[in-house]
Parts: sequence; C-alpha cells; structure tokens
Amino acid sequence: MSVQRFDLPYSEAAVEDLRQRLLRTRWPDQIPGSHWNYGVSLDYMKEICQYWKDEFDWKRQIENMSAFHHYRYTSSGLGIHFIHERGKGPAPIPLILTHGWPGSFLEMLKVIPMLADPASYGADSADAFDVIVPSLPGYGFSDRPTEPGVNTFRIADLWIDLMKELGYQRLAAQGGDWGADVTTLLGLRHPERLIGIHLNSIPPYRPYLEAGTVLSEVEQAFLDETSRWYENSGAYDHVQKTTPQTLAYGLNDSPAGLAAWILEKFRDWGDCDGDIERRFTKDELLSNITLYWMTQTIHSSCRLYYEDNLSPLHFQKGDYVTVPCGIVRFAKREGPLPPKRWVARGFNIQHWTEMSRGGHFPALEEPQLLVHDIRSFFRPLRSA
Amino acid sequence: MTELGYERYGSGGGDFGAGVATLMALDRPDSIIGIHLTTLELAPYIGPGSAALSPAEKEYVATSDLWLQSEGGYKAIQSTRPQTLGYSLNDSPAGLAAWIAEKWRSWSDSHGDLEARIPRDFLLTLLTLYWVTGTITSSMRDYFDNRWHGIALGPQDFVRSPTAIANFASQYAFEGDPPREWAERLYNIQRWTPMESGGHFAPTEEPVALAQDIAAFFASLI
Repeated sequence: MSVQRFDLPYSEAAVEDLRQRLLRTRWPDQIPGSHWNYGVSLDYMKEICQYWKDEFDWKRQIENMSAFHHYRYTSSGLGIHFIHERGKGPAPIPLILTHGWPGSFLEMLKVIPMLADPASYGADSADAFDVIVPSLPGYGFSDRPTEPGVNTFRIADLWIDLMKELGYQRLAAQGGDWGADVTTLLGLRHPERLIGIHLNSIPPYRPYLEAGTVLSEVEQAFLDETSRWYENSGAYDHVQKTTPQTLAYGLNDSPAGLAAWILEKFRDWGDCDGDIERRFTKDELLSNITLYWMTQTIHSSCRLYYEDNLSPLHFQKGDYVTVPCGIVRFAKREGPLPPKRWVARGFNIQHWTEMSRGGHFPALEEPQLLVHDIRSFFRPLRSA
Repeated sequence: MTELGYERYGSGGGDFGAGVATLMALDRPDSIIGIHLTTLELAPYIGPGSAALSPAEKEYVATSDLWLQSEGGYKAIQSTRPQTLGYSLNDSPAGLAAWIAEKWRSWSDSHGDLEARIPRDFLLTLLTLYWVTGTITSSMRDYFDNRWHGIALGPQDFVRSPTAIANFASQYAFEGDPPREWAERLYNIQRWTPMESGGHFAPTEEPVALAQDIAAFFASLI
C-alpha cells in the first residue's frame, strides 16, 4: 500500500534543543527608533522568541494537528504527507487544497472541518467536500526532494497520482501562493479530471501573447507596478530563486533567524496594517515556524523558487485553462493586483469575488469568507 | 584626516571604499591630492544630456544587468530588509560564513576554487571579525541607507581630482569589463591600469600589483 497512516513526530529532545538555542540567541543591534524600517523589529523578535522559548507548547500543537487524519503517500520515491477528511453529506466531492510559502498545511486547519462538514456549521450538507490537504514536496511532513526538477509541474502531476491512488477520478482544486500555481497546472494539464479550480491568489503567470499583441493600459500598468514592487519587496524571491543554499545555513541553524524570515511575510502579506497580531496569534505564527524548524524544510521550501525560476509558469501557444475557474480576491496580497483582463487571457473565469478584508492567508485570516466562496463556486459544478 | 593633522591627502579603495573616496573628492576637492580606485562603485550619470553610450559601454551595461540577475539577490535583500536577514547571520556562525564566503568565491579571481585564491586563515579571520563585533547587520544596513538615503549623481557631478583606476576585471562571476570612457564620464582619469588577474578583492588577491600601482600613481602627482 502506498498510502500509510502517519503519526506526527514529536521529540522532547528537539524541543529542548530549540529552547536552548533561543536562550543563546545572539541578537543583532538595531538603530534606535527604527522599528520595522530595516526589516523585522528587534523588539518584536525578542518578544515572540521569549514566548516561543517559555510559553509555546509544541506538544499541544501536535495534539491539535493529530485531531485530523494524516497519511503519507510515496510516488516515485518521494513521500507526500497529507490530511484526508471525508465529507459528511449526500455527495461530497474531493477537494485538494494546496498551500504556499512560507505557509504550510497548518493554514487550512480551520477550514477543513467547515468544508468537510458544513451542516455542523449551519450550512448545507450538499456542499460537503472530501478534503485533502497535502504538504508540498520539501515542506512540512513531506519528503525533501533529493533530485533537482521538483517544480510546480511535477507537483501537479504528483497530486494527480495521489488523487488517483485515493480512488478519485475527478477532483476539485483550490490554492493560493504556490498552491495557486499548482492548482492552475492541475487545470491546465489535467482538464479532464478537474471539476473546477478555485484560486485565492493569481500566480505570477505569463499568458501566451501572440506577436503584436498590445496590452491594455491597465495591464501594462500592472506589469510596471509589479516591476516596482519587485524592486522594493521582492528580494526574498531574488535570493531564494538564485542562491537558496547560501541562505539556508543561517535559517536552518538559528530559530530567531528562521522566525524573522518567515513572520515578516505574514506581516507584509496578511491584512493586518503592520500589526501582525491583529490577524495572527503567536501560536499560529509559531506553529508554522516550528514546523519548518522541526522538519528542517526551510532550505527545501526555498528551492521551489529556484526550480520555478528554471521552469516558470509561462503559458505556451494554446495554453488556456478551460475548466471553470473561480477567483476570490482579498483585500491584501503579495504584490500588485492583476487586472481581470490579464487573468482572462489564460483562465476561463466563471466566478470572481472581491473581498474587502483578509489577505494572503485567507484560510487563517477569514476562514468563513473563504469557505463560503469555495462552496458558492463549486456548487453549480457538482452536477456537471 | 583633519583630526590626524592632514590638510591634503590621497584617498582610495574598492567597493563601498570606492564610493567613499569618490564622495570625498566631490565634497572636498581641495583636500584631495588624488583618488585611486580598484572598483567602479558609483555609476556615472547617463541620463538626458549625457553622451550616447559607446558599443563597449553598452556591452558593459548589459553584462552588469545579467550579473545583477543571477548574483544580485544579496544586494536586493541587503538594500531592502537587512534587519530581517541579520537575525540569522548574527546568530549562526555557519550562516554568516556561507553568506560572506559565497561572495569571496564569486567576486574574486577564484575560478570557482575559493581556497586556491583566498587563504583559509584570512577568510576565517575576516568572518570572525564580523562575528565578534556583531557587525554583519550594520554592514548590510549600509546598502539600505545608500539606496534610500543616498545621493543620485547628476550631470554636473564630476570628480576633478586626479583619478587612477586599477581595473581588476577577472571576477569568477564576471561583472563586465568597464571601458575607460565609462569611467571618464565621472572621473578625471590620469591613470588607467588594466590588471591581468585579480577580481573584486584586489588588496588581498594582488597586493603587490596594487601597491605598486598606488605608489606609482601618487608619485606622479607629487
């Protein structure tokens, strides 16, 4: 059997080692009064690391995670961790939810029960899903690739393997961040199997443009703004796609270093107006960071950027996602807002929602809004 | 230098040092006998009103742009979020070593073999200096400050002080060979020495050739 039940690992020794390293953190200096101007605030780092050392309970977090059904599936020698929750309703359809960077399957824990068992949340059991939440290769409890080439194209194919193994002929797919890339590729490369795809972020794709295509003003403005945004805020991407290995030594060796690198993105991309704990609790932030720490996956997670740089999501002639696409846009995101026209060049948009609140991590930030939108999008497609 | 009792003096350097020397000459030309640079840190003004780029200059700019794409991640992060990176580099000796050693391999004339070019003890002394002084973060914040609180050179900026360039252009990750006319846009070039070997870290890599060039340059000015 390629699918095995998976018991989440816990090591008291690893927790003690983490505490000792936190205790011995060599803090950088900070220009007085500079707060977040040069990067993550020293005051905030000291506060959250002290909580991490003295109050955060990884054992309790593992117990919380263990309330779900965890498995691993090995395909081509690569072990993929996933949660699988059966839907409670007359006809649940399978839904695979894919996370991104620097997140994890942990982002989905609030929405899984709502999607699997709508009736328990005052909604219609006809909207139930069998929910599958994998960890991307190189992330969380999935194996770290030992060969080059595990890019979003490979991952989409791995997901199809997994769903076939689970007995699903057709599936629904949802994702944001890297999850949006993978979900897009599911729709593009396996349209016969996809009921529909739902995205909460637009991947950095390039539609196929015939020679001589003139982009609209709004599209050109978006591309220009994206270049400017990249100059100001895309450095993490630049480093990760060119020299992830160099970066990894520090991030895998220093808990404070890892925490800063990751939580900066929750603050930047979450809908929190610079006050990270307006949106995310310390436990939510630290569970995710501790997952990266314990599994030592920060390097492999960054390598996806390197792999993607070699095989970017550039649509070729004829590439168009024909399956129904549902897009939900939240108030805050990583990077500028892609215009609908730009998205429509590559995607068969059947559903488009603008949310006035929530950001790049909507399953954590606005789980009810996300779940409502997923249910609404897939509802008319169930009978198709 | 004033505190040390010097009224007129030479200045020189590479990397940030070349920028500092240039700005000393721009700010206090009367105090500067001459400047000697081993890298071209500051790009000259090439905006409206400037002379068109020569073919060699265009090639140099194109090579530089390519280099920035593959090698410039460090610059992007250091000039936007140095503090965020500082937590790991100040806390992990291995992390600090990797971040710095990568550049000594890429930017020196190493042919990919760092220790063939840079003695291990020297590298470790350098790394230990950053480590014990806890200065990696402040060193990276310089990139941020240069970028966001720096100066933009305009068409009127020109270094009148006699300038010597020792052109070490043999970095392992090739950055381009700057043509003399490129430097002449900003500097009063009195000496231009193409160096056959050596890269970004000239004083360490080619101390004799460099010292001779500095000595010959300033001797010619006195």
